Amino acid sequence: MFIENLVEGIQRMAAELGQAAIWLSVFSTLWAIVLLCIGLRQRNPNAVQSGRNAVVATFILITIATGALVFGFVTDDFSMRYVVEVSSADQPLLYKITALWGRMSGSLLFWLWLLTVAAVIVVWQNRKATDTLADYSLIPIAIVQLFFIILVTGLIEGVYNPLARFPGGQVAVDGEGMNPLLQTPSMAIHPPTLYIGWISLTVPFAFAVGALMSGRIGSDWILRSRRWMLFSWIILTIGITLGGNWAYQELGWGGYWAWDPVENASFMPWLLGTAYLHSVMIQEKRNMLKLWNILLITLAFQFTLLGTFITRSGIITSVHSFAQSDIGGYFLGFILASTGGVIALVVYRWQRLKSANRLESLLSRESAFVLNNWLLVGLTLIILWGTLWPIISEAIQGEKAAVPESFFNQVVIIPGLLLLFLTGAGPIISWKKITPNNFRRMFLSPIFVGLVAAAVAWIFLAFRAEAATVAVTEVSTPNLFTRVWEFLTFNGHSIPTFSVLCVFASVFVIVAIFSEFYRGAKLRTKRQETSFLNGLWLLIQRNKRRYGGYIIHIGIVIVYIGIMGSKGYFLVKDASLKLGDSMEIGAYQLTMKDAHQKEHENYYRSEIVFSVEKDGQQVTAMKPARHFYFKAGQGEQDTIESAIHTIGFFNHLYIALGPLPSKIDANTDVNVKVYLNPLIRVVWIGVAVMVLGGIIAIAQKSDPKPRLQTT
Amino acid sequence: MKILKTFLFPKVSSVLLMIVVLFIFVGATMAQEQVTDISTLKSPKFESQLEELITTVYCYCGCTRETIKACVCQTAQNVETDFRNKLQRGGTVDAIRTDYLEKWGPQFSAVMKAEGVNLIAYIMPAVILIATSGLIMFVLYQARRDKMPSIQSDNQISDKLQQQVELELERYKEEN
Repeated sequence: MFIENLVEGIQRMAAELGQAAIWLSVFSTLWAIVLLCIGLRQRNPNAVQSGRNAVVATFILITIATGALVFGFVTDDFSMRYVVEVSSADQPLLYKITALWGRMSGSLLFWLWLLTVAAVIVVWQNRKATDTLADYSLIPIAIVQLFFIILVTGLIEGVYNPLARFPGGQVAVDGEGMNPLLQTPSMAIHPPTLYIGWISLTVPFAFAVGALMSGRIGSDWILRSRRWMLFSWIILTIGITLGGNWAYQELGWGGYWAWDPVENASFMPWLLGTAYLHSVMIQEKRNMLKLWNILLITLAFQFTLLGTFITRSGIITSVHSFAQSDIGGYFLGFILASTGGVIALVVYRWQRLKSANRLESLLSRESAFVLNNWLLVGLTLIILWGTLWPIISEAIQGEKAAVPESFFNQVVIIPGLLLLFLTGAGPIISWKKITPNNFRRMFLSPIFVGLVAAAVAWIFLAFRAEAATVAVTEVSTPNLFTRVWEFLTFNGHSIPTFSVLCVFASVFVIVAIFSEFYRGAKLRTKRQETSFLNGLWLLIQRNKRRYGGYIIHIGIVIVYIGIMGSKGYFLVKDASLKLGDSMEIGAYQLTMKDAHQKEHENYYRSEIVFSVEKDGQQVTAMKPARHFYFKAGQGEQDTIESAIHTIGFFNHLYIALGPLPSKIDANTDVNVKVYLNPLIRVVWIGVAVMVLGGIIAIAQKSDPKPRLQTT
Repeated sequence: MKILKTFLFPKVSSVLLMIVVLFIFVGATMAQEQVTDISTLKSPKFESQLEELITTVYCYCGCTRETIKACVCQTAQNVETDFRNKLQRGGTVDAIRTDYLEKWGPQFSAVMKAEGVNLIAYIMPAVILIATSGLIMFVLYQARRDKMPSIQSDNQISDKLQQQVELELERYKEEN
């Protein structure tokens, strides 16, 4: 009894302490903003130092608040409303902790905590800086923090304080439990990775704003925030992929990407971040595109908030959205206000944003970067357009149009293929202006090999056209547009044109980039009189940023090949089977052998055993299942647990089950959906290569050719 | 040949390029609308019609944006059986689909035809690409047009001098 009272007392104290910390953080953040502004304006180092200290104080306070909430989860404090909504006594410890971001209020607190961590790292990284750029950058970070702190105080309608307790000291007997779809290892990692990626994107944005405020609009702010941007890009890449992997394993539809609004919301900042990573190189090398870079990083940051607005406001529904509320309006307001602030600063600094150099030729590396930016930004806006079309169509015609996956596939495929081509052309085209010699030396071989590969692919796919599930076969009611399309698709034959183009561009990029590696390594081998492998290692060591980037490009090609295979050539079959029944897909025969049920901590598992055979030989046994959770928000809920078997290293045989009764006997019909997904693992491998390239690039501390910075 | 050398040529060629982009884009999207799955052509007509139905409407069970074919819930199973029965009774694909959408709402249509208001959705991506290129051209043009800002504060060097120093530094590094 004494122990119970003690724990209850500590729980109450922790919750009260956490709430007090949130309120105090309002003042510490305001203090930071005001003191930094005054200190920097009056050149008062004491005031600036006080502002920095306030940033650290905010971090400590928000850490206390977050810690108090986690403590509430771990100790099952059911006097807290948020804990009751997302946790339950029998929830495994891992998912009690991850319940922190299970719904809106906790997500916002977690986001805020990550932001305070980023702010403290900025303070620490720049503790020895002799200039004030980092201090200026702390101001926008603190403003963003203040916005999130106000949201979690519970002051505004639509979101409550995550540490709030039930009125009158009421305590619930048990919690409702977290949504079972979130109780998976990939979902435990996926949201925090995305949050970390988005938060890291705030820092380069803050440096851009700091540069505008301080007037130091050279490349300094870019160099100082380069690692943040790369880190954000790597983490977002991982986060987006984990989300796709979660959808693939948990939703049972055999795919990993469906252009869902939440997927789009995470993908758009990634696209803009990718564009920014390219365009800053022009500013560093040629002192151009200063204005563009500031606009681009602002856009990337705003898209992290816009994604939250789109998915959390409830204006668009999504399979990934687990935390809807009325806060969309506040996000929209903040986006507009902060964008207005940046535009005002841009107007104020207009003269200093002019470039020092000209674009000398349309056939140059600068132009390739500009083209890359055009396509990436264009793609982002196209995806935004498709995501918002339900709202726009509702405004025009009074009813929401559902934008299918095929719409996005159609509108992104051409810019997507152009981007793929640029992935190879960019690294081999010369700066300033391409010369005939440069073209002959760098381009001819990749183009030739690419064309040969495309021709082989064309012949191969033409003979195997029946395997293509999305091949173009029938074009009726020809008009001018369809005639163009017929021309593009080789007069409507069943040759998948885009696959052939994808093969051409992929091979072109691979040959182009490997040639770059080969030439560089050979030169180094000759100079250092060492082995080729050592020369290659030295080459990458010498310029990790450049060669890390090339490795990322190779990863992108691999991802494209994986997407082409898994999206274009999958097979799907469904059947209603009884125990002992069989079905076929491709060369495989599946027989439903047995059914089991097993009780776990907070769910029971109902699984079916399938024997998989090929040419009469058993290949494996697969066990798809459904999990029935006892407490899932508002009662019992079941989830699909797909069974996945890897075939030939790259391909998957995938089984998902339809609804199951509580008891399965010989007469029970089970609805089964089976997919044969070719090259799907190639997508994950490509992402791993991209991340590896990113890690190599981020390992470089500074530019290998140090430059003087514009003041 | 003279016209190629005039200042009009780059502008005219840019406009033509934009028109080609627009043309290809709209052509691609409109023609893609009429794509038919090759596998269905090999199936009997009935299965082909059923396939068309279950791939062109979303399940209303709550698994957002999953077609009847993709969704593995009981609702999708029931809807598929219902479609099968209606087809067997002589219903047409269009009529069955219209019934379904009238009952559950147009948001459950998994096909967005490039007609009526939805045509805007298909055309806009090309417009966006053209507008984005215009924005980038503006930024570049703005970058090329202006002279360097000449005023710098006491202890700062001008960007032009900065650039010269950088070029010298580059040359020095390349030579050594």
